[in-house]
Amino acid sequence: MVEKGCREVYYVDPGYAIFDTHIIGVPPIAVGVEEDAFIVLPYTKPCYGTFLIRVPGGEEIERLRRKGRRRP
Amino acid sequence: MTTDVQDDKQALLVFGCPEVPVQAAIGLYLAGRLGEDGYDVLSAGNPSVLGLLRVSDIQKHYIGKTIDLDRCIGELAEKKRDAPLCVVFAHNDAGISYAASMRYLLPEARLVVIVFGRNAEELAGGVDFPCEKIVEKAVHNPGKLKIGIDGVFGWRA
Repeated sequence: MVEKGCREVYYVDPGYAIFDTHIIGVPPIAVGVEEDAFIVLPYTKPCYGTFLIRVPGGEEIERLRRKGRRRP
Repeated sequence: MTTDVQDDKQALLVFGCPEVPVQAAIGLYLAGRLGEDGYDVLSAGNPSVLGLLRVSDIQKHYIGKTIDLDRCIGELAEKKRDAPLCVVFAHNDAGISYAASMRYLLPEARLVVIVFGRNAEELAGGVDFPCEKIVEKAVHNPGKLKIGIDGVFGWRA
């Protein structure tokens, strides 16, 4: 979903933290950047499954660009 | 009850959503048997499942230490925690995601994934990473799941 909807996509591994949230999932995990301002990431909870959420990225965008991989 | 715990006797149980009744029963059983085998057992889960476990075992005979699941993931990611044995309970896609994450965060651990619930067989197909799998279409009845667990851990009489 991230790869289809976002032009700027990075790949991270389980445990990668965005703000206070550690992302979980089957690696590699796609995380997107939109409009140079928002981060689109999968958010999983045990009882509700996985949702795609879009949040203001702030400093996390540059951090993602530094630490994320452009390819899986 | 507990003996001196060696570093290789740390066990992490990762509980999923408590929606399926058999999870708590099997979790208590597994924690108890691992404790008897000398493991220092840590149970990770969301507040709901931890509450169920604590109420079920008020004397803490089986469930000792517990940790919030999100906090546990963070500590594993930051290398503040390790576990040579990790057992993940999965009855939905989220559980499989947590299991895959544990495989990545604990690369050296013995990973056992217990897949249960109405869609167990279909879900088990999504477990394509190295681990030991126990798969049973168990919702209320822990019998077959217990047999599978006993087989994996060598407790079968």
